[in-house]
Amino acid sequence: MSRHFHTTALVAARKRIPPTVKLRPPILPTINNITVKEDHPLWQFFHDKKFVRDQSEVAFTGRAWSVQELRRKSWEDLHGLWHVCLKERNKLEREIHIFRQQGDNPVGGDYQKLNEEIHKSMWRIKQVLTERDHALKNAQKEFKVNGDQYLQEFREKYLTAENVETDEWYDKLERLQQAIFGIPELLDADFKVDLRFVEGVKYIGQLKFDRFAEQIGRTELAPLRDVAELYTLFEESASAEGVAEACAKIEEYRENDIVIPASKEVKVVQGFVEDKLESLEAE
Amino acid sequence: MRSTNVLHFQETQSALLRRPWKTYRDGTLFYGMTKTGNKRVPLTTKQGNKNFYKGTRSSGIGRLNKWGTYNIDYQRVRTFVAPSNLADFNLKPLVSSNAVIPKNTFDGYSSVTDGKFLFDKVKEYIETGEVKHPRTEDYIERA
Repeated sequence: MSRHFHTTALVAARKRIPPTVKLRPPILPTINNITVKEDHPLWQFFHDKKFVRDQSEVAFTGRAWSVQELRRKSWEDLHGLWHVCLKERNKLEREIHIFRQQGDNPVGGDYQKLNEEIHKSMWRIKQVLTERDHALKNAQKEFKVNGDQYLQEFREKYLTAENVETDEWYDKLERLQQAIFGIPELLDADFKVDLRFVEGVKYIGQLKFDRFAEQIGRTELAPLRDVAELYTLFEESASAEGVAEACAKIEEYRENDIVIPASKEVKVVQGFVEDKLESLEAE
Repeated sequence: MRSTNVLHFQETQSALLRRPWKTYRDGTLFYGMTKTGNKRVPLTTKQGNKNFYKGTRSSGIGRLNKWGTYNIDYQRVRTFVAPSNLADFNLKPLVSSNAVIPKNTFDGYSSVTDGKFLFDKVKEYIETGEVKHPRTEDYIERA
């Protein structure tokens, strides 16, 4: 907007009320003249849209969630429970504030007690989450020390098992992928491949090859040269037919004479994953 | 023998200021300095005199640019993620006082945060998958 003196008269003229506008009596500022939308977000601070609850409505007999009970709950449950507690406390704090303003101190009824009991639930949720965080960090440290040994043991068990083409072993492999290497069962569209994922691909690919190579007479392919070969094995099912199919693909791939260097492995595997997701979407 | 520079610390301007008996003109002590009690605890936002502003590290989510307008950096703005299905969420803030609190045991491990504990549980999960444990009163579960 222009603020020069030579325009102020024009601006003021524009604001003048035209004579056609009818004057009406003023609307008095009373509570009855105010309407609030039914779904106004601030209603979340009120219980049943009441100003304050009666004392009988906040009387309670329950207790706060114990840490042991919360340890059983999933992350989603704890997240939801935290928000449920928070919303209830918002209501209570508002009511307590109103009573205090009226001069009730300490506030009568169970308002304060209920508030404190819910607060207990809330700090216990935090306690459980902290425990899980520390446990995870410590377990990751532990895995750095003993992880390789465990993977070696698993490998030996897999290679010496009588029959691994069973649902039990398929499930075990799937769980191992998820728990140790963070490879989910179903990939999201925006999945980001990391070093751990590549490690998992290598481990599982090599595992399948070592188990079935002799059975299908493809030992001449060893040693597997790069991550592309291991990924084809990783993708196929953990059975003799799956590995045979992968081996055929590897033979075809070796005609190209390309070997992927270690520095490009993550990028290459990301490409593979994206291709796979695209082909799945096309179907 | 001359003492090292470190021992001359009283002589610098800031060291003089940091003396507890040094007061401001209005008589208040330099912040954080009490003449009695434990002096080595961090100050809270409520302590200190008028010159002490601790803050909560909650501002500073952007920068003033050269024209004086504040550009918010949304990477630094806090976001609170609410659960998506709160309307049909069943759990309540309190539980029945008749509900028996389950017992936990960490036999063979130092605590619930023991790294070996979680690692062993992961191994067990890989072997057996998810196992539904009994929820009876006398059953002592591993957390």
